[in-house]
Amino acid sequence: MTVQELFKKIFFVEILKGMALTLSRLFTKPVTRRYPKEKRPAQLGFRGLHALVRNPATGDAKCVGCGLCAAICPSRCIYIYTSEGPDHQKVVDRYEIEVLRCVYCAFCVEACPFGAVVLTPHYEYADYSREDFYMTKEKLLENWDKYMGEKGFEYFDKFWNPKSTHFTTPEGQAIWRRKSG
Amino acid sequence: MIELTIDGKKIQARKGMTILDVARENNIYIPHLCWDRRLKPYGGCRLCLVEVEGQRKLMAACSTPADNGMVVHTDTPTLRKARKTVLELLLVHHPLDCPICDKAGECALQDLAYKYGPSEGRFYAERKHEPEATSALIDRNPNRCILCGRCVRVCWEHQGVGAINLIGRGFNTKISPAFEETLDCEFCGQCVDACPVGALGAKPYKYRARAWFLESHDSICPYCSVGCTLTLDLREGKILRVRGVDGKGVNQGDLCGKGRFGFDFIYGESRLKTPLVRKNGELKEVSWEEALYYVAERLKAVLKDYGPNSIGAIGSARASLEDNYMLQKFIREVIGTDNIDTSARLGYAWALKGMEETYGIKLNPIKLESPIGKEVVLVLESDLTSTHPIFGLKFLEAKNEGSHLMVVEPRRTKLARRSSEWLRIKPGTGTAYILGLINFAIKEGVHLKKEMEIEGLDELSNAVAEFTPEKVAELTGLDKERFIESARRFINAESRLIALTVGAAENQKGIETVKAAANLLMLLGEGPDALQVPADYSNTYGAWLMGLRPMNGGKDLYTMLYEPGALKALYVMGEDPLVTMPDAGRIEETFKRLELLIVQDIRLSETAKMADVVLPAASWAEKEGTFINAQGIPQPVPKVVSPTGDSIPDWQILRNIARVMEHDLGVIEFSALKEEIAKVAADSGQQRWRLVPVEYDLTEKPDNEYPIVMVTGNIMQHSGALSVMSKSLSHVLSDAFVQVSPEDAERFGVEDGGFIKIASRKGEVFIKARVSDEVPEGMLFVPVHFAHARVNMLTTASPEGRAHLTAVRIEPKG
Ligand code: SF4
Ligand code: SF4
Ligand code: SF4
Ligand code: SF4
Ligand code: SF4
Ligand code: FES
Repeated sequence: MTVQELFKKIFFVEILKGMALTLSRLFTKPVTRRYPKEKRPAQLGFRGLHALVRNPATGDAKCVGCGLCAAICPSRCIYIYTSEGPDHQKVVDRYEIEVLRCVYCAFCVEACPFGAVVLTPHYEYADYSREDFYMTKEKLLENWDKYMGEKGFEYFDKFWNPKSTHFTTPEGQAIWRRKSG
Repeated sequence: MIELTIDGKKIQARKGMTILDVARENNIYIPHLCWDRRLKPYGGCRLCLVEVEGQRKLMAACSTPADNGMVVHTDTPTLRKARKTVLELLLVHHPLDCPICDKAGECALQDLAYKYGPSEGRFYAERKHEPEATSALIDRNPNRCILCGRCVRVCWEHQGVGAINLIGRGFNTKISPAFEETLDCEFCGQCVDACPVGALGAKPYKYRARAWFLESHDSICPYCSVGCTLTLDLREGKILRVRGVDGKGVNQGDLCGKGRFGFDFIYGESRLKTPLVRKNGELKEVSWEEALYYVAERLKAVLKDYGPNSIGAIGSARASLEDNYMLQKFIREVIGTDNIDTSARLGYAWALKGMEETYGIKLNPIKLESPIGKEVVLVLESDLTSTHPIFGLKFLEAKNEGSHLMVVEPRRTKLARRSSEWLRIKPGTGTAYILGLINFAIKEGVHLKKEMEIEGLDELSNAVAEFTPEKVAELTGLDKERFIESARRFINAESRLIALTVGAAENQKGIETVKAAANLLMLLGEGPDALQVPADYSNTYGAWLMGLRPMNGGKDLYTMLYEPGALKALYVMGEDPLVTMPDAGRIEETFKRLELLIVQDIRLSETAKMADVVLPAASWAEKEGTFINAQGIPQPVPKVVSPTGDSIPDWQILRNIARVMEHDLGVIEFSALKEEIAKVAADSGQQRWRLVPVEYDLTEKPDNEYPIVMVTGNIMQHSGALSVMSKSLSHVLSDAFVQVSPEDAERFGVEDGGFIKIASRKGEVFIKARVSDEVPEGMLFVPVHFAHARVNMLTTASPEGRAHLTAVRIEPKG
């Protein structure tokens, strides 16, 4: 042990240095945010709650029920049911995501050839029952309106710039079954 | 043997094989699209190109014969480039609508494009054909077609139908039925399995699931006795479609319409969900417990009052081995009687009896491949491609390979159309034709050349002496010269085969037909292998082996059903005698006089509607079991879906009733049951050849009052109780009909599509007429299994197992 080190030990130099920093921070603005009072905006590409993209032209979902998202999904939490419609077109009857099982990998978004499914920036959806996390087609479309809407397309272009958006939905070949009754 | 080198590997091959054949045999991959194992090489897609050293051009492996010393390369930069170009050209006008195409994920074009293709094409064009979505079972989208021609060739070369063709030229070529009409064919769906892309699809499966959502299980077809392997594709516990997979099962991947589309009978609306007991004259839903106690009490009461011999049971040719075994165990051990039988009594039993009397054998399983390579193949008054479709295909194949296919048949069946020689006889005279052949053979002295002694020759030659060519010509309506010519051909052939069917639904053949055929073959020195008589339903053969027949003098089906009062209680398992058996009026009377009718079925059948108690059974695919096909091969049928409602397997129902009756059958689990069944030995008898005289006589002859002969049978899409429950099959055909010849239609003023009255000596029914030259003058053909038409009110049963044609009269419904 050198003299210098001994000196530092006796007079708590290290500790005083630390205390000095603490003291100085007392007079600066805090960096922690006081969530939930203070919210931080999600950045582009944040992987939050799922939504189905609403096609502005038809007002319906863009999804054609190709099942690629369900195929790629590592936790197998997407369920799609299709059938033949009255004009022999493909009809997507149900599109459901069991959100509690999702690992937010966004593979589904990447796989979709039509840019029809997204993860929105919305992340505050804690709830009390499992059912609330079972997203049906209606809920997913609502999510789009609530959390993405028009800005969703911008998000698509900027963040994903997916090849998928260059594909148009095959004409007259995929529709959504309207809720009966 | 030749030797060639493929990709540096020295390979031995047989002469006549193509390069692709050799490569496939040695697990060397060469891409291909238009090639199909069953068809002649076509060489249309150019994807199978290979490099052969010494050849400047690239060669199509599927149509280039392998040669001695050939050096072949299957994967070189040149080839990759060529394949890329081929694919690029195929994709020029392909719609690329994979996201909504049902083939995506199992599409050969998709896979190959992924493997070899360019990621972007340089050319672009568009086709705008109208997809056909109106056909009943086959969905056609010509825009996706790559014109490989496999469907067309399968339909014509392999199926012998020719319902579709490539029409138009160039870019506008497309697959279509003649004149672009809606497809109306036999709906076998073979073209769907053959199509490498999504241009043809099974309608019931359209847009139902993506390929990767499916899980597959192999099972055995519940319909006919060929016992094809079906590949069931399920999604979330529901069967969505059935495929044949190339090379799998006895059928090697071929399927008929019943097997492919008929599976949905298990989802039929009439499926029973709970037990029913008749209370105050009406069937009421009850719990299993109540039903079991009810059955037990009533059975005990009958036993006490009338003894075991007053109780009988009818098993099912469609239920599994295990179910049938349990039924006979129950009847023999718990009830203590031998009164048990199945519908085989009306057909297959006679065939076996006929063979026992002649060849001395007790069983004669068919061989699917038997017609192949025979010089002459004779099909006797049997519509094999309808009743046993995949067996029927072998006859077409035999003909394609050079056999002489003789079809002796009044109806213009598919085999008649594709035959080498069609002898259009009068209905029911096939036996006379064979007797004529026997007489002819004896006169020609053919048998003498064979140097063998068969007992009974003198009696036989006396009995057939009257069947001279003149007489046969008169009876059958054939030309005498034609008869002699065909007889010569048959008798002088190197190898030969006679095939015929006997079924509960058919009335133009009987035991005498089988005996006549056996006599003829023995005379010509042919063993029982030359006589191919398939069992009718999926487990007819198995039920027979399990002892579902009187073995110790018990009452047989004729006594039980056609002698009102012979029984007090009847247990019917999986059979609907009122619809599928002849002379329904009499059966109804028998049922009315019963004190107790127990019906155990998968649906509320006509018979069940008359029952005192109805027990719901789990159906095919809802339980484990075994079927034995007409070849005598036991094949397991797995459980792949859960049972409908409260239904349970038949054998469990019987086990439970036995328990309630305080009887231990000693079998609680399926495995124990299987072990017990494994011990049942089949007795196939000893060959001992005997010629037996055959009497030929039509039981009912047409006369002035009843001038027309009515023949009953099965048709391609329907074969009885199951098929009419299938939505898909009923989509093709759900209405009962009778075929009337144009001549008779004119004579009796019958219009196509109009209702007519058919009257026989038994009764009369009303039914829709279809005027068709498939039947000759003086003949009606009626499929029997449409419950609402009740044609079997007109027919008679023949307890001696004889042909029992019905003479009828027709008139328009006034
Ligand atoms: S984010 Fe990933 S885990 Fe979640 S639904 Fe999409 S693919 Fe599935
Ligand atoms: S990948 Fe896109 S279009 Fe396909 S099913 Fe999923 S969301 Fe719909
Ligand atoms: S379903 Fe069968 S008969 Fe009809 S077109 Fe296809 S292959 Fe031909
Ligand atoms: S429909 Fe299918 S099988 Fe037929 S020619 Fe077109 S691609 Fe080939
Ligand atoms: S041939 Fe017979 S066993 Fe084969 S699929 Fe057709 S009905 Fe089923
Ligand atoms: S497979 Fe050889 S040309 Fe098509």
